[in-house]
Amino acid sequence: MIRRWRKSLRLFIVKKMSSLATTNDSLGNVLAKKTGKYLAMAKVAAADRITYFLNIFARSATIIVRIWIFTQLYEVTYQAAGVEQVNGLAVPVIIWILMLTQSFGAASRPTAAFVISEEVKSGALTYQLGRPYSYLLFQYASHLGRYVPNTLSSIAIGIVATLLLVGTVSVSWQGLVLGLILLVFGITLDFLMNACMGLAALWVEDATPFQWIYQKAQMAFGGMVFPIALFPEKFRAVAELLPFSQCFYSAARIMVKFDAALFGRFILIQMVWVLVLGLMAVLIFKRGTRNVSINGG
Amino acid sequence: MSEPIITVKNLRKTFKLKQKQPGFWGGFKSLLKPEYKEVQAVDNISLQVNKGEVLAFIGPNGAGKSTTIKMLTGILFPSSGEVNVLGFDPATERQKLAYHIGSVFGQRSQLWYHLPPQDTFDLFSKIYELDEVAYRERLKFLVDKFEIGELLKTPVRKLSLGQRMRCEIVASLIHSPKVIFLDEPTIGLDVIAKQTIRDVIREINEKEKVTIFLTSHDAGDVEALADRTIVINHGSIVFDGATIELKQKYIKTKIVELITEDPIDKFYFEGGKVVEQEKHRVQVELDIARNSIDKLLTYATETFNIKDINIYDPPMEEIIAAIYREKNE
Repeated sequence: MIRRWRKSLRLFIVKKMSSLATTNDSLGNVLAKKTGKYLAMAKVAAADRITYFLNIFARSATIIVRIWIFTQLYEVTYQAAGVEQVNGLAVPVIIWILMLTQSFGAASRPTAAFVISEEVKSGALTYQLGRPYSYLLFQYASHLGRYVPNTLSSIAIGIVATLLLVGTVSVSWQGLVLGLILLVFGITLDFLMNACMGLAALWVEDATPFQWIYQKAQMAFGGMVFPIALFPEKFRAVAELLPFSQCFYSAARIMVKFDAALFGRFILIQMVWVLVLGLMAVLIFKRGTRNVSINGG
Repeated sequence: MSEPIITVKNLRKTFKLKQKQPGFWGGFKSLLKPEYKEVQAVDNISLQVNKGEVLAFIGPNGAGKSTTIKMLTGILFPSSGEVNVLGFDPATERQKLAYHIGSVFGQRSQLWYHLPPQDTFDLFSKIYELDEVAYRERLKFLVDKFEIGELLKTPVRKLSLGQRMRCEIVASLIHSPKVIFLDEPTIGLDVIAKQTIRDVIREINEKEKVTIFLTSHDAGDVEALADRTIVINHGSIVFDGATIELKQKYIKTKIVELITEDPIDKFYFEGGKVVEQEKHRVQVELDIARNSIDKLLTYATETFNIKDINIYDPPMEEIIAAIYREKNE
């Protein structure tokens, strides 16, 4: 009975996964081919990104200025308030969290919203829609491919600048590993919100205003300028529930100062948002493709 | 009996285009009360294409050629009608169909701009889930045919238009598609580049029995490649028949442009009507039933010191006008 059930499940998955040509392949082969194409896309996007490494490096270097400003700002604020710590966080910890949040956020540029809306506007969608892959997964893989070189460059420069400005803070291996998990979910969350905004270009002529609103929301509630941990308790609770803080701040917060309970809360919030926004992106895409009209014939 | 590969029945596509009044207040007004205009891009067309056939799908700008191709490839959803390509409904089975078709849109690029073409080809081999050995063999074959061996490691941004277009076509053929949609594949190319592309497309069609659905403004492409031609105008089919029939019945003239070293005082040639004349340039519409290009060129070279010669087909609008004229008679 179980064997028969497993066989029919296997057949169902193979049939679902393989699109015609590869129906004789084993499940392993089918899965390898399906995931292989997205991995290959991520690799090509990364290779494309590092073609102009100096550009990435120069853009990443702006983190130095931002970290310097934040250091001045928070040192003066803490001194004026006459405190060493706020909500258990000292200035060096705040600066490390800000550096990581800023680096993770800056690495997501060009945003998926920009890339998708440009494809819609330029008509490049003509080729992208005519390929045997999921358009959203293709964009996700490309985004990850661009993200990796961007973030490595940002983090490398950010670490040196922060070490010079505020020195070290003690971090734990749990914080780094679990923070990395939060980062993967966070990048996905940021991608999904951007994908929804980019796909809006299928209805509206210009989706840029959505992106501005998103960027401002990231600034206010995403921990990009004010770490959420410094917010008053009620405000903090609300901000933590919003998807904006779960993109990059939550990973940075856990990496710099590990808190198991906080990690549990963050990952749960992220999972819910990934599910909700994932469904939303798929629905928008399905609805939007019926609305496609390619610019310029 | 030939096997139908593409079947289209009563296909229609209507676009809603937002209308904007000129000026600031016009823009403001359309913001408050948007107005839309319905455009019938494709209007009730039916056609069938058989396996291994080379079909030219031609017409003036805005006739509905590209819209039709995009509906056949699943990129656009039809407003009504039925489409079947290789047994798939492109609108609902776009991804499955994509494994078996290739497309080239001459005005767009599918190659990664900053990377060499080899990277795009390798990526496509993964996207189309090709076997590594089979892919290497196929790539070698296409690289030899299109003579792009030296271009494989050059970033796409450094390639000329002709070189890029050859790479674009290779990218579309890498997965050995059963049907290829070529939308203006030779646009902007010089004579030699056009000829190379036409030769290879012809060879692939003959050897691999690949069905080719071609749109082009270049009558040379149509003559060199297509056995059958469909002419579309305002979204409707106005001619569907053998290319030779189209040529014999409706392409009755050729435009010959001569640029001379010495001034042209008078140009007279039996069957030739001077359309435009300047001091060193004359454009003649030659009735090919009354006289030949050969004779015109002999006359021209004997009479003037020729600097340059260009020969064109009459514009598509004239061919369509001739088709309408015949229908009304």
